[in-house]
Amino acid sequence: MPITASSVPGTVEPAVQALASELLRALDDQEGHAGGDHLDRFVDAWDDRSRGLAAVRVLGADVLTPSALRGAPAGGADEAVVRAAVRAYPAPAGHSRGATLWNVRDAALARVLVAAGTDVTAWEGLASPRSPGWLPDGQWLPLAADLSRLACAAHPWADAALRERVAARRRDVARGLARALLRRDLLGAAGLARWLALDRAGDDEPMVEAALGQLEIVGTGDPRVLLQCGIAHRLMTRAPA
Amino acid sequence: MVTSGGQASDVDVVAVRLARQVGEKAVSWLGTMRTCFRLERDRPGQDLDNGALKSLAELALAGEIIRREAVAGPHCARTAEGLLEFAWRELDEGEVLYRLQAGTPAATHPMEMYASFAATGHRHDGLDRLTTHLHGLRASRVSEHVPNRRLAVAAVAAKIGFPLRDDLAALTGRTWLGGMPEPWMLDLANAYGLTHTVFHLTDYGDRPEGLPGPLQGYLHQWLPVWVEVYREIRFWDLLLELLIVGTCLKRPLFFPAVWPEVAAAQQADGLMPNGVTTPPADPQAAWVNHRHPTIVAAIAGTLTLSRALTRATPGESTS
Repeated sequence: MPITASSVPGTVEPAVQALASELLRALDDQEGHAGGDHLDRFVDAWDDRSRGLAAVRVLGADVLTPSALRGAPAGGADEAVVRAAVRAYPAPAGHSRGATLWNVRDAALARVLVAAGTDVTAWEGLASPRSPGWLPDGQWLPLAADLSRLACAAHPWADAALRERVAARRRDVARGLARALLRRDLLGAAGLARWLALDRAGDDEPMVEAALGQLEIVGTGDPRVLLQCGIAHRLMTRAPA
Repeated sequence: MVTSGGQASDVDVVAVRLARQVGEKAVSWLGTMRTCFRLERDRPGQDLDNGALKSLAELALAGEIIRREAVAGPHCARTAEGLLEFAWRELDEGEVLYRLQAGTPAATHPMEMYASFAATGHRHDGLDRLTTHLHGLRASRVSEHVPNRRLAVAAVAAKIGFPLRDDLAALTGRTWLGGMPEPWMLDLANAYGLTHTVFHLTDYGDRPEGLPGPLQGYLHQWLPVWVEVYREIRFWDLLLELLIVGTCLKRPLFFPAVWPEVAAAQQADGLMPNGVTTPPADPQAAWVNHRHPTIVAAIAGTLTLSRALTRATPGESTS
């Protein structure tokens, strides 16, 4: 299953968009969505449960991050949904680039769960964590390309070594953000802005805020973009861990 | 540092060889096509086609830079010298520019076109007297140009030998580049404004220190992004101007990964496509839309080779 679903009719994309909208509401907690069992309700409401579970898998750790950021971690029913999604759509094995990215995605998912006290050691389908040696060295373009696909890993419970490596490459991440905006790749841009928001470091902060401000306006039609922007804003206003 | 890697700041021997090849083939094409640059002679000076005049001035600029850098092979250097002399003869050794300036005294383009000739010792006494007079008028400091064009006029005046009357820092601050904007706000018009801001402040790489330090840092951060964006869409005309910008910095950026693509896009006869229009098979028809990118290719190849040699020579400063 590709990490980024295309918007072809009959794909999982409509479910992903719907789930992103749901999570965006959970982030704002406008309707008391945070915590509880909103993932369970979402999957049940979808006419094809497997499609709902696929959407959970596509969004990865982001299905849990909004409620966790609000200090109301997912309840047992939502954890069961995530576990079912992981089992239904196991991470690919092997050492391909795609498999490596799944390692990082699943590590990010596992860390949110563990932070909430969940034991994931027996979960089927979850990729094993990997040290951040996978991050491309040197050139900014491949680094930015990978990080934009791994935006769901940019959360406060992320692996410290990974955060340090990304922080050391902030200038390269910012280049990726500028390129994504110039190419009108809003989702990629929002993901990279989120990485920059995770560990703010002074000189590029006005740029991150300006980029997010623009993305929130031009990305109005895409809940996935808005979800990334919303999480990025939470990360920026959150007290350092 | 000489490597075979792909970092923008590295000198890559293969890429430099390709840059030299692109530049020399471009000069060769310009030499072959030089009759296309001829002015129509049956019209009075004021009615001359500005596009044709501008092309002659750009030809002279390439000739000036190739002479100044002195890194071209003997054949290329001879062709470039020939182009410079040809352009000066076409302008009746400055008489055409003099008549144009006399007829349109408020215009700055005749003086701007004169710059490369004046810098290479091609002087016209009447034009010198007239531009000196005009440069002393209050009017010369209040032309309503866009900011990077104001810089162009200031740079040209310095090149011709006039005392500096403008506040370069203030002029620079009003350009797009001088404002160090959000990098994703670059569009085509501002991109060409940016390249020319760098060209004028550094005299096409002759004085890298003419570009203020904060702008050097800004370009080190964002030029790689813009080069990548215009490489991806194969917009050769602007891409080559951005490659020149890289060579104008105190710590030059070379973009070795880009040169194989530029070399592959260049036609066998040396014509450099602009990346927007398809060159017609007829060389004279192709000249119309491709003289500019080919002149830019000649300059980009020359400056890349020259800066790479400077950086690769022991004892030369690399900072």
